[in-house]
Amino acid sequence: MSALQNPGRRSFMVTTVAAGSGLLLAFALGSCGAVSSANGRSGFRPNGWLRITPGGRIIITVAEAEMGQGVHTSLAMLVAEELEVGMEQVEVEQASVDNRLYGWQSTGGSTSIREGWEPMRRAGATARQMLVEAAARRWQVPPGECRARLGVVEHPASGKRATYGELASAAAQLDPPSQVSLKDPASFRIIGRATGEVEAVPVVTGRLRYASDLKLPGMLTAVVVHCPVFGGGVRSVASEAALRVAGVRRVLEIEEGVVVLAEHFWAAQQGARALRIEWDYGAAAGLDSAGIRRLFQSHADRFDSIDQELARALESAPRRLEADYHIPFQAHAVPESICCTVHIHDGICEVWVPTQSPSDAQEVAARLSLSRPGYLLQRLKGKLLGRPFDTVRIHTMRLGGGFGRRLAVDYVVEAVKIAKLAQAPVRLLWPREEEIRYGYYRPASLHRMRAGLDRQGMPLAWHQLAVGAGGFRSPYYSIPARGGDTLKLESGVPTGPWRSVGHSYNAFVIEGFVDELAAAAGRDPLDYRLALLEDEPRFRAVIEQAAERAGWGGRLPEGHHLGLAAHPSFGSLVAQVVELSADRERGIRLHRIVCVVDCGRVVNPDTVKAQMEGGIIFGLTATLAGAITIRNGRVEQSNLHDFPLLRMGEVPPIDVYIVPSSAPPGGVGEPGVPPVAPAVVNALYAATGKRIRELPVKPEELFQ
Amino acid sequence: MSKMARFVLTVNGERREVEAEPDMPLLWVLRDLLDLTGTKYSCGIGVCGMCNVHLDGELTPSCSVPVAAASGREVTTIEGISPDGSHPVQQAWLEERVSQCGYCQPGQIMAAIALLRRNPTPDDAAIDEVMGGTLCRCGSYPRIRRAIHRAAGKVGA
Repeated sequence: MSALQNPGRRSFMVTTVAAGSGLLLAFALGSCGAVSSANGRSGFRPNGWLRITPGGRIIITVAEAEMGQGVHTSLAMLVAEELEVGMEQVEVEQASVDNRLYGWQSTGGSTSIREGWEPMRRAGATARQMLVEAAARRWQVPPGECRARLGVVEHPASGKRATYGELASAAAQLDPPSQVSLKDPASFRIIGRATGEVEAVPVVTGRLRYASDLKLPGMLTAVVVHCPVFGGGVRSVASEAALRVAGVRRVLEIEEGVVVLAEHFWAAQQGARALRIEWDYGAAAGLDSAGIRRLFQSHADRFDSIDQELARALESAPRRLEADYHIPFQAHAVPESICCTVHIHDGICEVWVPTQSPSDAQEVAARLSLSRPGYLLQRLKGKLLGRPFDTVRIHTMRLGGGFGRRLAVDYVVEAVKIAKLAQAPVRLLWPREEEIRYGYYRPASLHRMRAGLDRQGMPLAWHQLAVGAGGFRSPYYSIPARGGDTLKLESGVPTGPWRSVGHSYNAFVIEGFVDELAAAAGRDPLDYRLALLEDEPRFRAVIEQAAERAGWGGRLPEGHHLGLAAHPSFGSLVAQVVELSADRERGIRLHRIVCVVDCGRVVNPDTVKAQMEGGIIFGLTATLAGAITIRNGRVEQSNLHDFPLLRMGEVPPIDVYIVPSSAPPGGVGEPGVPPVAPAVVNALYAATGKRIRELPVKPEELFQ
Repeated sequence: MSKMARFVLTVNGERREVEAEPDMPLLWVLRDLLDLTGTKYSCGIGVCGMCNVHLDGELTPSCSVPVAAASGREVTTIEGISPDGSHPVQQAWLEERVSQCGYCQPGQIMAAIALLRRNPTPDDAAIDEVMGGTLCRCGSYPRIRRAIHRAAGKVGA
């Protein structure tokens, strides 16, 4: 294959040609696109491919992992729109992990559409233009007289027509155009229309193979028992009883814990239960949630390095408010438990893994499967040639839930270690109990909120001290003096990204506290917010529409109350209003949630709605259903009976409205999560007069 | 210790023979012995419903049924519903664009079919009662509800 740069512009595209094999275009999502040199070594790092075969197949290869956010469908829509083909004419393929071909791969932060919006369309438009050019040359007519439609180039004047497949190899001989024109959004046929998922049929028939469904010849299933106390290790193992379980083959020790290898999962799990392990619990054995809270509190009490000007503004205000907000640990509870399948054969380490971090997976698999000199040599080779680790093949599988948990690659480390020791293909599958107890949790944190108000109750100063978590966030409200500080503390509990990351707690504390300020001022929470957003017309519009759709200020059914919260994140603006009733007799009953989102230009409105619904239910579960607590250095919960998820009847109707917008696209996988928790507690305040500053909500405390 | 024994089940209309420990859950017999992987593992303790199958037509979490108890009985899994997604419930799922990560959807569909066979036009309360047994972490519940209403009256007993 040879690569030609797109001449005359700072391009993000090359063509690669193999005679007679159709058209292949490479393009880059994100900001890493640069001009390629002819040998493809420097600069240009494509992470997507568009291939049109002589047989007419149109294959879009994407590096983004599909985990239910609809990214394969949305990215394909962008290409299909400009290529002038129907969605039913395209196939989407998951990229292999090859840094030379696809650059660094990671799916998180609601970035895919934001980064792909232009390059994906440009790829489709470039291919279309080359196909039209190839047809025009063949027919010896001006390209302007030809048109492309549904995979066919036509010359209406002469009635000539040719399919993309027939033109693909000829198009591949052309230089990519230096200029491509993208369609006017008014003429979009696909973008902006609700489109079903490309892999939907295999899902509903059960034919879709997730990583945990794969079966390789001679494959063993591994279950790992981790030390129940974080940071602890194995002192000794008695494995006789485990080895007597029918189907159990071996018991191994790795740094992470004790491994039972068996012919199938059930035998491995039974074997794991039969192990007698003496643990060295280590330093964290005394850790508990109450102690972590005291630690956070003592640090908050001792904190005295607030910015002097801000401190003066707070102290000199006629009225001052202060409140502590508490956020618990949360688990991901990914529906497909943690899994990874590894087969080391013929000098190749092959890995099938549902992961948000395929490139990290490749890196750790290489480090563990190669000898130290072999690893260093390959890494060096990779740096020089842009092609590291060709002895490791990562097959990124569809994820049975990600939510941030699958950004970590701890399970790849374990699976490769086990496969090396087992000398057989190994499917690692964690029992649910390990997934709940051995996660990377949304961090627990304390937020000391302070505000100074003027005589009308409007804020003059605002400060958030975030203790234990990733970081504070300055409020988006117009307040003369505002800011915060962060005290990062290691609680001893492993933490990691959890859908919407810091926004999940910052929205709770900001929107909860601003509601407190409104109450202190004796003002309506909607009016109060709007008064602080005079310079933010786009955000105001989102909040106003949510309030209007929810009937804010109107007559509600007897006993119903509304709570509002709004939060911008990942380039999108979201406002939500929760309607609920709460009384001692019947507890908390949710009646409806209204969600308004402005995420700029919309690719697949159905995905936007689905992600808002899903984000709300994810956030609602963390608001009402449960949390992770620590006692004696261990997670107290173990499965979905004591870490419950909301069930269908516990979720109210959710009405999602999308604000039409021509602004650049924002993310949608995460922004639906943050507002729901504060909207619920603000509604509970409206219903009961009781301010909730700690999650999850405990109804028994509400009605004391 | 091995108490391995031979069991005969009817799975999706076919006679299947397996050799297993009597207490091996039907879930793992399906997944690991018969390679019918549409039935999913998630909690293993009968609270999530992702492993739902029909046992003699009754909705059952297959993780909670020892193979010995399924012996001689009719098991229907998601693979037995239709190979191409043409069953009215699967069609409703496609039309309402229900699935996100998709992992729980076989269990949801098995639950919905069982519900609609017993109650062809369920109201929301009847839907909640049966569908409350199957969890979805992605939050596809509003669409599941719509899909069930859409499929109402189209599923034979």
